[in-house]
Amino acid sequence: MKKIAIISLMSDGGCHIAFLDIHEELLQLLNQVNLVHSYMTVDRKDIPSDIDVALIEGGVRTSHDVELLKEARSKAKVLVAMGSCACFGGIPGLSNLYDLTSSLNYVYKGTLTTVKGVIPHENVPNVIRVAPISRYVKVDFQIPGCPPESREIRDALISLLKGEIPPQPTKTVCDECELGPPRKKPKRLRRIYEPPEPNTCLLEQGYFCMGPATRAGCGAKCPRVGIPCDGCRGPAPKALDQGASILNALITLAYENIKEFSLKRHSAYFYRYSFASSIIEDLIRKGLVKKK
Amino acid sequence: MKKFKPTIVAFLCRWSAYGVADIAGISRTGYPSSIRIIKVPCSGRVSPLHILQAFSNGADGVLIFGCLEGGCHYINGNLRAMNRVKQLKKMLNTVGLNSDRLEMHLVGSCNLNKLVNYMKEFTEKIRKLGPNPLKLKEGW
Amino acid sequence: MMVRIEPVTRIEGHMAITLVIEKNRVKNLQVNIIESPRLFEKFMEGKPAEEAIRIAERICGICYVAHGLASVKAVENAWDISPPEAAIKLRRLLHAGGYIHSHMLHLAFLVLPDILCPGEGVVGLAKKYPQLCKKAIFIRKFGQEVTEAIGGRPIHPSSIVPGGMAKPLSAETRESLLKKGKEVLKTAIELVDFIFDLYEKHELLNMYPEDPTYYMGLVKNGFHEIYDGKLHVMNPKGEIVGIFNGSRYVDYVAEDTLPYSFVKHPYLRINGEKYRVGTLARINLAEKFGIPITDNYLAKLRSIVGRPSHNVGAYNLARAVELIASIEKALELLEDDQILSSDIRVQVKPKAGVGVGIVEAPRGVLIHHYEVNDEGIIRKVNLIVATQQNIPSLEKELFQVANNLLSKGVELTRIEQKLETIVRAYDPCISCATHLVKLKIVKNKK
Repeated sequence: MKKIAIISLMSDGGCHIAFLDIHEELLQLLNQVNLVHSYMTVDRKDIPSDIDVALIEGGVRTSHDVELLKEARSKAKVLVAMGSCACFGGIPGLSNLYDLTSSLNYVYKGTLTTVKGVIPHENVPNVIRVAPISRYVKVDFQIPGCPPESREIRDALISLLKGEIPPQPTKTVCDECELGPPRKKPKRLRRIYEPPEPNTCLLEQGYFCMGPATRAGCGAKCPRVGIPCDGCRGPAPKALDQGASILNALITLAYENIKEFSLKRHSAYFYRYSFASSIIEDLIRKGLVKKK
Repeated sequence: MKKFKPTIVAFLCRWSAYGVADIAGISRTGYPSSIRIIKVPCSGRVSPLHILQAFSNGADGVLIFGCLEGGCHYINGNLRAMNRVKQLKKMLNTVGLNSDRLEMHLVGSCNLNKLVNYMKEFTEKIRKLGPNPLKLKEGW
Repeated sequence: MMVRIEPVTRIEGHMAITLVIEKNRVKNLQVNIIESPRLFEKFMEGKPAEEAIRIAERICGICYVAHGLASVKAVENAWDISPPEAAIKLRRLLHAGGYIHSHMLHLAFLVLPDILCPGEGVVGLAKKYPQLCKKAIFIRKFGQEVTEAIGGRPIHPSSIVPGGMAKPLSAETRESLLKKGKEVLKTAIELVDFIFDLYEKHELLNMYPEDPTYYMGLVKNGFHEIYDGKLHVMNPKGEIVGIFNGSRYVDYVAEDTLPYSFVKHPYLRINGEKYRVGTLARINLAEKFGIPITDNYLAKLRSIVGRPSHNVGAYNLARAVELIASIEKALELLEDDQILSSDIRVQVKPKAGVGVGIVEAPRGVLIHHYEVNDEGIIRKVNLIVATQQNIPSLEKELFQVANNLLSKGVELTRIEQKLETIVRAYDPCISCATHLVKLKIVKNKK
């Protein structure tokens, strides 16, 4: 039987749960493949060798993550980045906009309830900039999403185990959404605490919807409940930078409505899941942007 | 001290500015050697990503030339590009770059002198501003 | 001699245990958490408060509903908003869905394999007890369906907004959930009876340590409560020694930091004592649930373990009782016609302020505390997450148990397994806690 492993780095565990959310099919799957490593369901502690497909959940945040990742790469024939953290750095990537030392100082010494704070330094790994796993190892396939749809994980696994490349969506969430496309320019920007008009494109109403710059495959679940897409599936395939993509589309709206551009604030809209793999991250790593 | 020779990436629309630059190149007029030209089908094709990538890779300045108002082959690509540049200039400071390092002009297909003058003035402005701050970092 | 258990498996997150053993006694036990610290408390600064909800859900891939609810309550507290009653009912239903999925996941995948097929994990359970697995999956799936129906998505819901909820429940969906829910309740009763029987048959409670600690949790008018209510503190003798409104938690709770762990250790300011939260704490603190089938199970549990119970193994039985409660409660909410109401959202106007939002996550008390400016942008964040409040007790209990077993000459691999079983009873959610623990049993070569 082929061997699969789920290895977890900096993650919240949601992608692992999405995998378990195949529900009854899990029992069938466990009869067809050998699940050799999965911190949530299997007792084995070390990563065995000769893994056919390794699903990596989570991005890189510590030196320990890098070690684990490299070990997984050396032991797996096919390595898959599962989830937006592994693919793009995910929401924790937003942490890269803040100086690391100040952040550690705040969390371990500065919060309201912390008493006699000390930054952990004994027997704990080094904390480094959040990064997608592709920064450290070669990635064979990506399944983005926060989390990805359960069926996407299952379908990708089945294809990869057969030695085939799984099909990838080619469109954006905008294409899957019944409310769109936007037909006219919005008059002003709206925040989501304002209820929308029904049956009208959210972007057209002025909400910052990432639909046009986000990979399809989820059925536009969030616009379906009247909430704008926040880009959790990352950029459309072949697009390099999700924030630049949406900015390209919305530049006039942004120009007329955003008086002062703030990376910390506006990254919540256009780089929520992909900051760690953005051009701005690139500029920061090269030393250009000053961190506060 | 060696005089700083800027590297400037210029996106030129193939319907107007590119042809003009071609002629400038062939004729005695010439244009500043700092200018590295990239042909685009329309100035509207240039995205914020391209501009930021140019700076990320070490360009000291970025210039964009589009067609005159009303003259865009794709109706209003040039105007969209002008808006993009206006907005991006606002944001460049946030990423540590002087907004003067980005400029856009609309030129007709006959105005050789205007084009070359814009290029010369921009090159001089960038020379005075100095190199892209990235280049001052270690390991460049 | 140093012994290291790394990682502790079949828990949510990354934990290891380090023991320093000298002359057959445990000299030192460190619970070092190595889960990568993402530092949400820092990077949420500068974000629009209404967006914090979807961001905060990503603190945890299991108890995301709890985080979303605590977050929206903090924002509503800061902006002085009271959502409509129907919206609160929808939130309670969402909360129940989250509990069903989380508690079932834990009991079936993280606890039962230790009893029925030790060392073989879920793979072993699936092979040897497929019918049992099918039942557990059937129950858990219902929890996810409820979450998806109310929240828009089964994981990381998007319909929670300041002012209420973004979308009402349709009559169709409600019918289908009710119908299924009744079957799910029957199956859950079978499963919970099975678990209680197992505990009795194998005298499992004797295999867990007793730790007389303080307890903290939400209670409302004496009833078990997970969305609202006031925080109650109980001493080891079972007396209520404090009742306070969540917004005053800073006066009651403080956190210690440790050089060897990414997780902070909370304690009670009044006396410096550690306290526990979660299923057992809630069961100890509440008089009753107010729903018939669950209250029967509560009585059964109390007849076995007493009140208060300090037995770590009782956490699992308490969790089983709460599983029944969540399903029974979900059905009650689904039968209430107000659940179909479309009056589920009030007008919202951001303002400067401070807000505290407290709910009971499946694993314990969860606190989100935000300071926002007049534009409604977050300026400062403080989080106290469920699992971290149990870590100090866990560390002490592991130390005691390890010492006890060592002195009896139990071999090291068995001790490791035992320690892991104790960790699992707490159902620790490490992603939340780090906002972290690593058990390394380190053998000194002397």
